[in-house]
Amino acid sequence: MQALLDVRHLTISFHTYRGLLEAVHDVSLTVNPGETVGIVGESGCGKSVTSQAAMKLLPAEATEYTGGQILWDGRDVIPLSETQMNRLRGRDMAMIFQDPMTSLNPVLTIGNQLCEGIALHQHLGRKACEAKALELLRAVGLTSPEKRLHQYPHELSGGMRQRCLIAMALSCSPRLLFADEPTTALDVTTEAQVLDVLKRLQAELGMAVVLISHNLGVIAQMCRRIYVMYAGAIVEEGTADDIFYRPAHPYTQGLLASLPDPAQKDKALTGIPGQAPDLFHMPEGCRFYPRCPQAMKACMTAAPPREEAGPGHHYTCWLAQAAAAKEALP
Amino acid sequence: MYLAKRLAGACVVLWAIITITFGLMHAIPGGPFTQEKKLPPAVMATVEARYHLDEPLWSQYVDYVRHAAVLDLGPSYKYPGKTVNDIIAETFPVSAQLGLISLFLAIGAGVLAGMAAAWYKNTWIDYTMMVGATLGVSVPSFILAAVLIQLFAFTWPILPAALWKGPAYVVLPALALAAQPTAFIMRLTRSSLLDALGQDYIRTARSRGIGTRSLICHHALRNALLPVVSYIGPLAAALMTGSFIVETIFAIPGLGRHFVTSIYNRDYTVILGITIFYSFLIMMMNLLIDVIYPLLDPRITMDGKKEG
Repeated sequence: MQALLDVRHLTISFHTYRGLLEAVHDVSLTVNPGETVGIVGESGCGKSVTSQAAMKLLPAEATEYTGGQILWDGRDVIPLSETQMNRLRGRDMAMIFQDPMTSLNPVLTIGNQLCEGIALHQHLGRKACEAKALELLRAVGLTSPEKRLHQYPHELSGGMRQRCLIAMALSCSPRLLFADEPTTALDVTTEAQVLDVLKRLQAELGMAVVLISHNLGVIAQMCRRIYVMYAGAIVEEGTADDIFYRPAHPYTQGLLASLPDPAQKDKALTGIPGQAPDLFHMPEGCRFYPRCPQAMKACMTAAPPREEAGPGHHYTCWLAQAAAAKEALP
Repeated sequence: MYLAKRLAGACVVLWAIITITFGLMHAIPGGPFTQEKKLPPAVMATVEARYHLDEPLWSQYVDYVRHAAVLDLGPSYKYPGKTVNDIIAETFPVSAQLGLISLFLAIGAGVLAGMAAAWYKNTWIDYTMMVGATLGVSVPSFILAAVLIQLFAFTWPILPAALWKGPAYVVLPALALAAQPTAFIMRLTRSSLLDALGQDYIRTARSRGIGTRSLICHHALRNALLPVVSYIGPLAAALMTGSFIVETIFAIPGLGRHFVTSIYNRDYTVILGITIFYSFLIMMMNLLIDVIYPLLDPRITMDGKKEG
């Protein structure tokens, strides 16, 4: 089976007034048709940049694709023009964003924005577009969809807006949906509802979803395979079981250890000491070593190798080799 | 209800303007009949009595407000036999015609040029237009008028240099008058369009495959036009009441000239009349703009509150 999206050794830099800034380093990830893949990591670790790069939504004049490929259906999209990308966007791949408050155009009605994409990609008439729009609003569980069609974004609540954005993203039944922190701006109840809608529609449409979040709970609930990102690079990848029950990378272990445990209410919350490195002053060697409880000499000087912890379970760390070396000692 | 409230407010503002202008005007030394060669005291007394200028100031003021309330702006002191209403009725249509043409020219050219500059951001097209706009804002209209006359009336005699006799006579003064607002509107459109294009909802629209043309024209422009529209209100009033400089250079019988000459002449009624008329026009234009706002941005209601 050919992967729907195959990102290979992608490196992205931004032009800033302080010079070229590398935001994403040597990221490889694959998404197969119909599966849900999660990307977790702290703010600023490159999750959103990676996903927006795959749709080439990053501001063209400030972005430099310094290496790697983004294969969509086996075809590299990096050299494609804006017009060529526009044929893919919305129809084959779509995205929902973090902040539903600012992601809708305030001066256009929901119906107008919803119909625009449908008319563009499916070449339907006005009436047919409106019928389709109604159907979509119903599918995402909005009450009285006829009324919503003629309302403006400011007349809707955050949860309703996010549902509208989901409806827009799904309007042309894309094969891949990037959900970039889709519930971060919502309250917990609404979050659960929106995730349910996403899950149900994914099953109905058979599309693949890339779910980006810093919320491990959301990721655990939704995803089959997970990529853990730290400071612009992927540190560990594996199935949900691998990541949550057999974390191999010290960063992943630290993330899981910092989760509150309802069974042990008296236990003090732990965190990972220190903070994510400044992208301008990236440590040599392993990016995580300044905060890593198991850091060794090797970590400071050379980039760690990619190790296999099991089938499909990889992590980037020196620990395995150190363990192997210890065993090799007489 | 809203309109009634606004109109009532306008009346209060007009009254305040009359009072302040009346006070300032009488604070300037001299009067409409003070001349180099003194009039004989008896003649002076007759003339002043004829126009009630011998009465105490407060009585003149009450008199004026009473007449102004029924839209009678009084007789001109310098143009015997003409009332201020006559002067406005004669000259305003000329100024308004010229002003409206310049206004549409400025809006059309300014918005289009601003869109082009935003579209071709940071290319030579953008830079050329921005240099042009900076020139347009900083070159005074009398210099531009002189250059235009030299070029198109003398070097290539294709257009008349002055006077007001037909369509061809409009071109040069309209250009001279429109240059500055065009440049201003262009800069305003460019910057607010670029601002709008950086918003989240543009990224959302891009993620749905919306093309650049539609992004600018359908999504960003309506958001970007609000500051332009606010600028157009007072601009329309200023252009329609005429420009002293342009009307003088092109010998156009418009209202703008009276604005300035009436002050030299201490032609009290004309000063007051034109001031009132200009203020009224500005207020009406602003009212019009406030009615247009909600059409552009549904978050703005008529009461001026912004929701959401």
